[in-house]
Amino acid sequence: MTGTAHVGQGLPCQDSVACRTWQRAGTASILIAALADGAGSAPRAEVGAALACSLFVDIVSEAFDEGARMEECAETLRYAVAETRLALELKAGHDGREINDYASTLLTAILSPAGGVVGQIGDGAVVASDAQTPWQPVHWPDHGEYANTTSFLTQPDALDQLRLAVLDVPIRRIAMFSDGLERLVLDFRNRAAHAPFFDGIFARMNPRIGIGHLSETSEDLASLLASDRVNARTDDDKSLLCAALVEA
Amino acid sequence: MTHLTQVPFADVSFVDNPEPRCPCVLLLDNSGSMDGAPIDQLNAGLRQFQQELASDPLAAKRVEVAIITFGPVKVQQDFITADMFSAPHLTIEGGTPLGEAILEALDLIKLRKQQYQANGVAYYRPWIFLITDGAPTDEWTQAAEAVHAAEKSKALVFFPVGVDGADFNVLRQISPRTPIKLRGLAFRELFQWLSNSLSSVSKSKVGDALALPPPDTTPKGWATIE
Repeated sequence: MTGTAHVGQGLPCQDSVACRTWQRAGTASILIAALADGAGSAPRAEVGAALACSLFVDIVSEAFDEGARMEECAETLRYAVAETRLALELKAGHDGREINDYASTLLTAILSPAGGVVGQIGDGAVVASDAQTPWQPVHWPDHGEYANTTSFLTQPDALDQLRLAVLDVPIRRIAMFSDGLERLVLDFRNRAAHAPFFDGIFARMNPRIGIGHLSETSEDLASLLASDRVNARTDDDKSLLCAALVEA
Repeated sequence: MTHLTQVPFADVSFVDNPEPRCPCVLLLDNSGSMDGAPIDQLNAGLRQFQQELASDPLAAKRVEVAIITFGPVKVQQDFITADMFSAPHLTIEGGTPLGEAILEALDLIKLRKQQYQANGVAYYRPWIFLITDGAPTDEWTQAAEAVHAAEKSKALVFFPVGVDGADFNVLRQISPRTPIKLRGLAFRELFQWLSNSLSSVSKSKVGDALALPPPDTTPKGWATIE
């Protein structure tokens, strides 16, 4: 959803999301998800964010097509992030631009019913809950020291900035969001996820859960993100990706 | 079914987080040479600074002001958000212990950052804004080294401003930033620029290209080229 500040300045929405399930015959499906927030100062930020998400999801899918196993999902994620960055560099070279012109953060996840991996460069966050633990941020948003700084996929040491967490329990519910929502749904005093928000979202999703993309829920979430209640608290772009494990 | 209501998710709950803070220390010379019109204009500038920041609702909650005067070094105002800030009335005292004043400002910022961190308050890079019309009467090289180190590690931004009569040779060595010379006694214009700049910083977002207005060197502005 485009932030009100972006609307005011005539800027496009510079957030992007991509999500897919991948399935090998006879096994449970795997969730591949990515969310990116383009840097306001980068002239091609919206292209960088959109490419980063779709490339990541494609590259991971191809890796599974070619036999990658969930046991090595952390390596697959790291590989896909590196390849995504390389593709952006080639795109920049092709367009006669600098890769920084496409600056964007990147949140990623590869999850099977048994667990998986969450990787993050920059701000925004991924929060998850399993049967035992309530909502918890997998990584805390990376703002460096100051509120207006973060790391980007496009910076030279991006792979050093990639934070990985291997989750070896079944993740029942997961949500990713860009930094436009951070201050609404994360408790900065206690460095915690604001559970009532996520419970509220998923409580409304549960009765409708089926496999794949839930377009009706997406539309409802989109109206929430575009609502005055949200815009009163953030003028930035905001994206939210929610996924729940469907019991077989 | 509830999902047929007009506004989906209308009841989901959000967090009330503290506003991110944008700390600024004013390091102000109130030595004897500032007596008369200079201190009067400085006081008028401070009052204007207070009004301008308070009139910007977001900046009023995010900009935090602290004031240290020197001679002698005195914390006139510890960090306070702009909506609560009331400009002090500065009077003339003696000496220009600039080195000690700078070290005090660095300590104040260090302490404030610790408080932000302990309370989960996000913050922007702190500013120190120095205004002096004289030459230091104390040892200042240690303070200069500390400022250079702090600027290098991006711990803060240090802006030196010299009023007519200031020792620009010293100001040039104190900070990696080129000192700016105040045009006449254009304190009001200076503080207007400062409040505008702090307002912009306090609303900046990740990845924003933040272009501060350059010091205004036009005949109506506050700066001249030394």
